[in-house]
Amino acid sequence: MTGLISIAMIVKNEAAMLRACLDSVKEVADEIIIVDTGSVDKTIEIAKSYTDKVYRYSWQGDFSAARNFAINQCSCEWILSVDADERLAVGYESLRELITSTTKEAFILPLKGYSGPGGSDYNVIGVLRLFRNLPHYRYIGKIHEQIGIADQEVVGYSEYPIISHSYIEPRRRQDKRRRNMQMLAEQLKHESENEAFIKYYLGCEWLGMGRYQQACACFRCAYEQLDKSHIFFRSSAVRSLVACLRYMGNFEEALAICIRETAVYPEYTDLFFDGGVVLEQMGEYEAALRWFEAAVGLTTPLIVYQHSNGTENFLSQYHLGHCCQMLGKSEEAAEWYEQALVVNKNFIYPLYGLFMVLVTKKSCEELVTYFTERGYVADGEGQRVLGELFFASGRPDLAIKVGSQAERPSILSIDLAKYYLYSGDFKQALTMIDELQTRQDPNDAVIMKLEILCYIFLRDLSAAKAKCLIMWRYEPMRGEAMALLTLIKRLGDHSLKISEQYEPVLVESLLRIVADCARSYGENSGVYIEVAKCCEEIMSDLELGSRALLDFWKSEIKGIEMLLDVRHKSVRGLYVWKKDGR
Amino acid sequence: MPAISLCMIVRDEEKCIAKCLASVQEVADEIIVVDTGSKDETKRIAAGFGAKVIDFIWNGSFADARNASLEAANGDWVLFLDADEYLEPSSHEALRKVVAQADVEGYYIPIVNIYGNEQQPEQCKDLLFRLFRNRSEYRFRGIIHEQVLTSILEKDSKANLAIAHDVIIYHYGYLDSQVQEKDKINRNLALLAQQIKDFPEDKYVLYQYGLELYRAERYGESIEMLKKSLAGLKTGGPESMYFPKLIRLLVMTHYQARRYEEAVAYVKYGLSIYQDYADLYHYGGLCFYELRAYGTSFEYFMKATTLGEQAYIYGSYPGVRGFRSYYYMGKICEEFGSEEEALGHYLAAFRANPFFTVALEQIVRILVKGEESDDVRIALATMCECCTADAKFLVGRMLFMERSYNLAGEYLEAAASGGLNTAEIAICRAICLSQQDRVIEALKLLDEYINDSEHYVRVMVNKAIIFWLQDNAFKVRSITDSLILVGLDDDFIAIVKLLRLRPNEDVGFVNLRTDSSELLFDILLRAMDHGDFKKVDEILARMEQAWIKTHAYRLMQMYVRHNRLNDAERYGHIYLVSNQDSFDALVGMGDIKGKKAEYWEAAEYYRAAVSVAPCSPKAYVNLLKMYDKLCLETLKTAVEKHPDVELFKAMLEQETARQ
Repeated sequence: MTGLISIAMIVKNEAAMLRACLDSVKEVADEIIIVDTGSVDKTIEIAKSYTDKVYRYSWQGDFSAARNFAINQCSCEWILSVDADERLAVGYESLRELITSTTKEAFILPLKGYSGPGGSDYNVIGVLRLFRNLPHYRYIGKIHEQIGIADQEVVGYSEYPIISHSYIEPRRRQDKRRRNMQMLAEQLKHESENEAFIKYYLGCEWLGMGRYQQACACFRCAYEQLDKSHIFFRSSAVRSLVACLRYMGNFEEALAICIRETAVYPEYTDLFFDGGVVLEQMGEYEAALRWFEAAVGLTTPLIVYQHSNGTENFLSQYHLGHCCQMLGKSEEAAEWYEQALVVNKNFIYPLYGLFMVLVTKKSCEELVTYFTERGYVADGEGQRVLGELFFASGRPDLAIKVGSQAERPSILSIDLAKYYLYSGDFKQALTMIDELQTRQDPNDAVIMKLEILCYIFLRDLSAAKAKCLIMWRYEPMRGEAMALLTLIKRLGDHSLKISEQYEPVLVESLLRIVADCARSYGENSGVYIEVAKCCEEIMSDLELGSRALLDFWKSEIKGIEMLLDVRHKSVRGLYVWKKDGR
Repeated sequence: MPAISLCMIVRDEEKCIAKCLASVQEVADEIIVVDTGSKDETKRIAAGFGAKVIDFIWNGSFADARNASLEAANGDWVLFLDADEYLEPSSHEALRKVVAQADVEGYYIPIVNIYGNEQQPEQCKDLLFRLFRNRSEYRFRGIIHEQVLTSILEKDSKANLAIAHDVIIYHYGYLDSQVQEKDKINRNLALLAQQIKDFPEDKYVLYQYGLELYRAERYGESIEMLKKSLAGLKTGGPESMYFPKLIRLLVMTHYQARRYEEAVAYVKYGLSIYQDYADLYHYGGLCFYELRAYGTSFEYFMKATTLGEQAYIYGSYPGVRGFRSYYYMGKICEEFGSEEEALGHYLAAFRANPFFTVALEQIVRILVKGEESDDVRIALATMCECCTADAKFLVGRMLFMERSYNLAGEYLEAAASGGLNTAEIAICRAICLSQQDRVIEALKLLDEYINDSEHYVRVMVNKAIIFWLQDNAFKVRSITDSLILVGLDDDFIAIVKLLRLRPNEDVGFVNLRTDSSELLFDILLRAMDHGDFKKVDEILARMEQAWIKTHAYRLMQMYVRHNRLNDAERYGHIYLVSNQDSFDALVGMGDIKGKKAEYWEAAEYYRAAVSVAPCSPKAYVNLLKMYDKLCLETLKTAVEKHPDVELFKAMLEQETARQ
C-alpha cells in the first residue's frame, strides 16, 4: 500500500459541482479515484485536471457495484468516500491525525445537509465514509449503499472532518426523487433482508412529495423493525414518523411515540423538541413548555442522531417564547425570544413575537432604541423584518429610521420608498423611485405603482395618468394599470367602467392601497384619507369589492384584539364583542 | 382542674377594664393586674373584680412589667389580656378544655380585631400567643412587642404548641373612637430601634420594626428590616406564626414604594406556600394594576373574591375578598372604556360595604353621565337606602359634583329637611335651584347667609352668577361693585369684572393663573348647563390666547359634554398644536370625530394615541370601535348597492343588532 488516504468517487454529469469538491480534498488526499458512470458534460475533463486515475464504468443500476469498482482501484491505507456535490468543509487537517494511530477500522463522520438557501437551515447526520482499505469492507445495497461492517465495536465516531452537502433546488430534487423511488422499489423486491432501511428511504421520498399517508406507513415499518444498534437510522425514522403523524393531525400517536422514545433516549434533544411541537399544535402550551425546556437543557446530541440545528437552543427558545405568549406570560415570552436571537440573529421569527410582546409595553420610539441597542437592526433580515413591523404598526417614519440605523443599509429600497410615500415625504419617495428605476428594473410593476401613487398623493392627476398609460402597455401589468386608472378617474369625479376580467385585480390593488393608507403617518393625513375613501367607494360598487372590504375591517379588528390579548387576555370580554367566530 | 391566672398590665384604662375583667370572671381562678402608674379609677375597678393589683414603676420595658405579673401568678396556666380586649363568653368551656390537655405547653388564641366606625365595624382576624403554662423559666423578653415564646423554646425546642380554635378574644382598641395617636408610632419606633441594638438578629423584632416603619411611611427602611427578618426563616416553626403576615407586609411596602415587580415576586413566593391567602391575591392585583397588566390584575382580584373564610393566622384585612377587590375590578373595566361592566363591579363593592363611598361616587358618576332621567332617579333610590340626612347629603353632594342639578337639588333638600342645615348645603341648593330657573327660591337661600362673614364672598359671587344668567345687568353691577370693594386678589377681580361687561366694552384681554381659573370654569360650565352658549362665547372671546392655549383641553371637554362638536374640535386643535403627544387630547379628538361619524379621521387620532401610550388599552378599544363602525358603514353601502345579495342583508341585521 502506498499513501494514507484515497478519495473514491462515482460521478455523472457533475461539471457544475466537481471542482469545488475536488478543491476541498486535494490537500489531504494521497490519491483521487474518480469513476464516471456516463457523463455527457465536461465532468471527465474536469476530473482529469485533478487526477489521472479517472475510469469509465458502464452503469448497471447498482450504486454499490459502481462504488466497489472505485474502491478496487484504491491503493492507500484508508478510503474516504465523497460525492461530487459534497465538500470536505472543516477540519481536514485533523483527518490524518484521526486515522494515524487508531485501532478503529472505520469512522462515522458528520454530514451537514442544507435544507434551505440560508446558512442556518441544516441537518446533521452521521455517515460512515472513512474506512480501511481491506477486501472485506465493501458496499452493499443497490441504492443508498452502505459499507457492511458487522462488528459495531470497530467503528469510531468523530466530530471532524465535516462533510458538507450543498442545497439542492426543488425541481432537481423532484427528479432525483422519482429516480430514487423507482430504484428503491426494485431493491425491495430483491433485498428483503434490508427492508427496514429501504422502507426508511422510501418514506423520505414520500415525505418529500407531501404524501404523508404513504410516508407514515414506510416510517412505521422502519421504526418497528430497526433496533438500537442502528441508532442513526432509527432516530431518523422516529423523527420522520412523528413529523408525518403531526402533519396528518394524528397528535395523540405522535405524542405517544415521543414519550416512549424520550424514555429510551433521554439525551436526544430533537425528540424533546418534536414532542413540544406536537403539544404546541394541540394547544397544550403548559405541557409544551416543559418539553421545550427539557430540550434547551440538553446539548447538541451526538452525531449518531439525526439532528436539526437549533433544537438545543434557538429553535426551542423561539417556541418557548411563543408558548409563553399564548399563555399571556409576555415578560417570559420576551426573554425567550431574546435568548433565541442572541444565539442566532439570522433566525428572525422571534423578532415578530418579540415585537408583538413589546409593542404594548413600550412606545414605538422606545422600541427603535431597544432594537438598535441589541443590534437587531444592524443587518439585512432583522432590518427588513423590523421595517415591515413598524410599518404594520402605522409608523412608516420609524421604519425609515430603522433603515438608516444600519451600518450597511440593506432594506430593499422598494420598501424604503414605500415608507417614505406613506410618511408624507413624497419628494424623497420620488427620488428613490427614480434611482430604483435607473439602477434596477424600469419595468417593475411594484415600483411603477408606487410612482403613480406618489403623483396621486401629490394631487398631480395628469402626471399619474401619464405613468399609468405607460404601465398599461405591458400586458402582464394591464390589470394593475386599470385599477390605478379607475382610482385616478374617480378622484377627478369621473367614473371608469372596466371589464369583468380585471375586477379581481382591481379589488386586490385598491384594497392594498386602503390597507397602506390606514398605516400612514404624519401631517398629510387628509390626502391619504381622501384616497382611501375613494378606493372604498370604487370597491363597494363591486360585490367582490364589498366582501373584500368587510374582510379587511374584520382582519384589522382581529389584529388589534391579538395585540390586546398579549397582556389582557383574561379580560377579553371587555374588548371582544362578537360572539361568532371572531 | 388546672387553675388559670389572668395577667394584665394596665395604665389609665378605667373605660375598658371592667368589660375585660367581667368577661373572665367565671373562668379565671385569679386575676393579677400590674399597674404602671394609673391616675384614674383603674386600680379601684380592678380591685372591685377581686384582682390582685400590683404597682410597678414603669422603666420603659413592657417585658419587665409582664414578668412582674408572672412572678405573682399562682395558677397552672397564665392567660394574658389587654385592657381593651375581652374573652368571648362562649369560650369559657373551650378554655377549660384546652388547659386540661396534658401534653401542650402553650396556645395561640384567635383574636378578632374590630375597627372602623361604630355603626359598621370591620373585623380583622389574627392569631396571638396568649396562653401558656406557668413555669418559672417562662419569662418575657423585649422592650416592646415582648415575646415569651423564646424562653419556652429555649427550655424545650420541641415544646408542643397548639392553636386553641374555639377560644376567641375580641380586641376593640382600634375602633375609631379609640384610635392610636401619631406619637405612638414614634414612641414605638424609638423603643424598637433600641431593641434592635440589643437583639439585632431577632427576627420577630425585625418584623415589628419593619411594621412600625411601614406605618411611619418609611418604606425603604421597612423593606430592609423585613428582608432581614425573612432571611432564613423557616415555615412551620412556632416562631414563624407571623410568616404570612411578614410576606404580606413585604408586598405592601414594596407596593407603597412603587417597586411593583419586586412586590409581585413576593406575592408569587407567598402564594407558593399559602395558596389560599386572599390578601396576597388582592395585593398582587394591585401591583399588576400599577404595572398595567390588566388581564393578570383582574385574574388576581377575581381569585381573591372567590376564596373562602381566611385562616386566623393570615390576619386577613376586611374587604380583600369583597369590596376592595370589586372596586378595582370596576376600575379595570373602565380602563377599557366599559362603563356598564364597571358599574356592575362598583355596585357589588357598594353592596358589600355601604360605607364605601368611593364606590358610590363612581356609581353616581356613571349613572348620571350628564343625563337626568327618571331611570337614574329610580336606580339611585333603590341602590342607596338613604335614611339619614347625612346619607342624603353625601349622595346629593356627589350628584352636585357631577352637575346633575335636578337630582342633586332633590337630595340636598331632603338632607336639609332631615335636619342638616349648613351654609354648604344651602349654597349648593341655591345653585341647583338657579340652574332650574327657580331664582327667587335660590336667592332666598343665599340671603340667609349673606351676613355670615365666613360665607359672604361665596354668597355674593353666586348671586352675581345667578343674575348674570338671568340677564339682569343692573343687579350684576351692584353686586359686583360690592365684591370689588372687598379687596380680593387680581384674578378674582378680573373674573368678577367679566360678569359685568357690556357687549361693546373693551378692557383688553384677560389672563388668569391656573389655580384661579377654577372659578371661571365653574361659571362657564354653569352657563353651558343653563344653555347660554352665547354668554360662554362672549367670555372666551375676552380671554388671552395664552390662557386659551393652556386650557384648550378643558374647553374641548366642556363643549363635548354639550355636544357642540365643532367648537370642541376647534379647541382640541389649539391644544394639540402645543401638546402633540397628549394622550387625552388625542383620544378626545378621536371621540369628537367619531361622534361626527368621521370614522377614518377618528381612527387616525386613536392610532396616534396608541403610539403615544401603548400601555393604555383605552385607545386600542376606541380604535376597535371605529373599525366596527367602518365595518357597519361598509355593510350599509353594500346592501344599498347590491340589494340582491342576501348575505349582506343578513350580516347587516346581525351587526345592527349587536351594535
